[in-house]
Amino acid sequence: MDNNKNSVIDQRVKEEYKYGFITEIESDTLAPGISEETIHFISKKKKEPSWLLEWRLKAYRKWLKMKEPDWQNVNYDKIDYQDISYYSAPKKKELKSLDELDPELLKTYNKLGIPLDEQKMMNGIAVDAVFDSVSVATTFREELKSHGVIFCSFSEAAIDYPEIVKKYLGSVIPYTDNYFACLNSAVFTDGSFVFIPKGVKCPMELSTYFRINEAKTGQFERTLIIAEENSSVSYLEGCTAPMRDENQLHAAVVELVALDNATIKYSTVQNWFPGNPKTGAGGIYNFVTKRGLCAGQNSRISWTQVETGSAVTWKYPSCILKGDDSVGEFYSVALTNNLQQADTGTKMIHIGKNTKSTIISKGISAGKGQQTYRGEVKIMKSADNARNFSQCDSILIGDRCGAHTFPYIDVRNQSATMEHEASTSKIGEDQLFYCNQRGIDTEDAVSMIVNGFCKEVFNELPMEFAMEATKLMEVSLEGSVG
Amino acid sequence: MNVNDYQNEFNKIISRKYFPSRLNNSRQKAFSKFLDIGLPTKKWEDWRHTDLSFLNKNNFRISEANDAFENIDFSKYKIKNTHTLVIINGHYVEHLSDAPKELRVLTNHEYLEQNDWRQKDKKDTPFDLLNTSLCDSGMSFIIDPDTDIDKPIHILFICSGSENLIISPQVNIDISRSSSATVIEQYASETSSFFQNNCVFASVKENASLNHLRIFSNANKTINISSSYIEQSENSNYKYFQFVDSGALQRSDIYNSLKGTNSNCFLSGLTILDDDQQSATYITTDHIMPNCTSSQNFKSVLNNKSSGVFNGRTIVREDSQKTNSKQSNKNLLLSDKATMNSNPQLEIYADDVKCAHGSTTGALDNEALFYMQSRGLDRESASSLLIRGFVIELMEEIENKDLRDYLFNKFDNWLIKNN
Repeated sequence: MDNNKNSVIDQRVKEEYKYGFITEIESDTLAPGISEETIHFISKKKKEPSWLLEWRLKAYRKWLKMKEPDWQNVNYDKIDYQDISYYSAPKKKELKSLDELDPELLKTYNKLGIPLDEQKMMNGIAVDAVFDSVSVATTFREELKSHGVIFCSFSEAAIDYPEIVKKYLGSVIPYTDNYFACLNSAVFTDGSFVFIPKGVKCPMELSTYFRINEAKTGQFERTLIIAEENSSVSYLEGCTAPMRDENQLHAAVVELVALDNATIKYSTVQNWFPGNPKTGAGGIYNFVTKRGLCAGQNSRISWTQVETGSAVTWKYPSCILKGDDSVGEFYSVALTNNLQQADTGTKMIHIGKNTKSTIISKGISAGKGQQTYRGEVKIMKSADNARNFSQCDSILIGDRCGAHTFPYIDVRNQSATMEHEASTSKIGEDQLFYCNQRGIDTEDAVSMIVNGFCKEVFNELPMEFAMEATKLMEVSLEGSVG
Repeated sequence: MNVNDYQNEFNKIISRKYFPSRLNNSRQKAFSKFLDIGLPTKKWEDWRHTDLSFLNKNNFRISEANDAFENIDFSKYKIKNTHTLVIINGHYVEHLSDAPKELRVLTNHEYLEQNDWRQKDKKDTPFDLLNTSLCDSGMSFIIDPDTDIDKPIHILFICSGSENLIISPQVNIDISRSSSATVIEQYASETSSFFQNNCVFASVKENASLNHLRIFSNANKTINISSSYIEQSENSNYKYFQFVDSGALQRSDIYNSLKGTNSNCFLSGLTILDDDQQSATYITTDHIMPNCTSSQNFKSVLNNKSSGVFNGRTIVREDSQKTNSKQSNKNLLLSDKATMNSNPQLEIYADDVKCAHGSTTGALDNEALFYMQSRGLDRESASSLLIRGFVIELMEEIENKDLRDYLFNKFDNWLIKNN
């Protein structure tokens, strides 16, 4: 069996990161470095209103005084913030229709399997594509508009819907929140904006694809989703990047606001370039701040994430359960293979009465991957009858990987009930043997067991993406069988 | 107390001529390190939930020659069928103790002299550094190889006499190979206010076993900060149980290193608090070698404004395959002002392991209460039945019957008051 296993490993090791190509496209890239001029430049380029520029500058001045955090359980080379370019955009501008998109760009998105071309649209998903720093195309906009749904790039929203943006920008994640969120607030270049008015159930899945292309650029996008009373929306983001030897920083901010009886479902399939599997060179630093505010009664925010890429991942999609009877959910599968590191988890802050939260986190660590689940469940004094259930399980594949669990449970209300459980183990030899015995080879057996392990989370993804996630898991597990 | 106050106390102890100069060197070193890092604040990860305001607001001093202790009625501390070693204000009092003859009792100076004046390794936390720099008391005992001590050794730490003393004892427990013993440490107070900051080192050699129990029942205005370092060799067994039922602040830091293969360590504890008492338990179980088993099983029952912290950390190092480890923390809140912080943590670097942890916090189950009331029990007996049921699982793990009865008695008294 061992020989068999080894040949499988060899084969799989040779497979490479599928999305590692570079697109030859002319682009406008700002010289590296950050200063107030950089921010003025970005703001001017985006034709932003002056209040937004002011807000950016405030954030920048605050950022200068902040210190990069170091408490997370990951190691990475210090980032030189003056060596990053804060703005890069494909050169062609002012598009009237998708036909005018640079054919190279369209090719890129086709390679990534993103249906930008509305004609060929099969699965009826509205897509906003963000290339390096700017949103290049948003599909299905007209149809969505007929329902009253606004789905556009952040820069457009800042110009077209300034009142909404002004009201909600920074309301969940203030620019003072943390080092990377503060940097993002100063230099964010684009992102998606979604507004679902009262009583509207968004008729289709919304999704954004993020792609970093240029070398030495950082991607700082900002997503803002607002669901008004009695509305609902499901939103998905996907991320890829080319293979490069240097590390690139991705520091995004996502803010969700759900009012009374509104539901927001936010799913992420993150597959940034994880770095060279042998040397660990290159790869994306994925330092993201995501937070949802269940502001209204009976509101619901659900985070689903499949994290397979990035050299270093550091993110905690969180829910603030402020409205009574609101619900927060977090479903996560994180995989670290080779030299990847991830410190991820969630925060559930219970403030309203009868609030409920569920955390299901599945970690898979292979090769020399290091993975940490870090989660906080906080039940405030006002949260009568709050309920939390957390489960975080890890599988270890290989004897040089690590899986760590750091839950923080803080209960200040007697009527709260909270449960946390976690387990860590390796794939059982008996399970593998059982599969082998029934004619399933080791490779398939591992992927079957891992997929079974993640099923609870994949079930939460929109159908098309659940398939994608299952496939992604197989690819990312390459070379780990043993 | 602020850093200057500690400096004054340190100056006093360093000027006492009867300590050997070697000891003063290590004191100096530790104290200057303490000055460098300062007292912990809530921004320190390990001190986020520990409220040191009581310590910071009150002043304490080291004892002087004229701080004699008063007559103590020992009967209330007596546990049947034990050898009692009495330590008053940190100092071992031989004439009140009945050490078994198999036990070699040494003063800390004698112990250090035997070990070439090497100080044991500590974690360099501010309080451990303070213990090194201010330590003027304590005791050590050694159990020779192939010796089983049948009756438990009951070490009674009592604070008596003057108020507001800083007491910084060190205790060394050496269990040599193929020996076994049961050690009960009991912390009690005759005075209403003191600050005790102690360090306990236990080494459990090959094939040896130590059954270690600790009872923290200090007065309400006392601070007890206690660090224990336990080192285990091959095939050794270590069993620990702690019982906390009082104190303005009771903080225990336990570091357990499994340095030999096939060793086991089982840690458990019960915390029952009332008023604005505070208890924090920080545990690190470090699996350094393969084939070891460990467990952490802690429960607390919190009433009124009391607060509890459980921070259990299990590290499984790269080479410690076939580790089996469990953590469990269950908490019962009896009042809506009580708070509990629970952080069970696993840090795993080896793959062929089985590790699990679980944590629950909640109030008494209303349905269970209703069920019992519908069967004719009054609410008080129903809730006392539930609370007793909650702790009984842990208490029954205590093998020694006399001690179990003693603790049950303490628990029942607490329950009557708090139900």
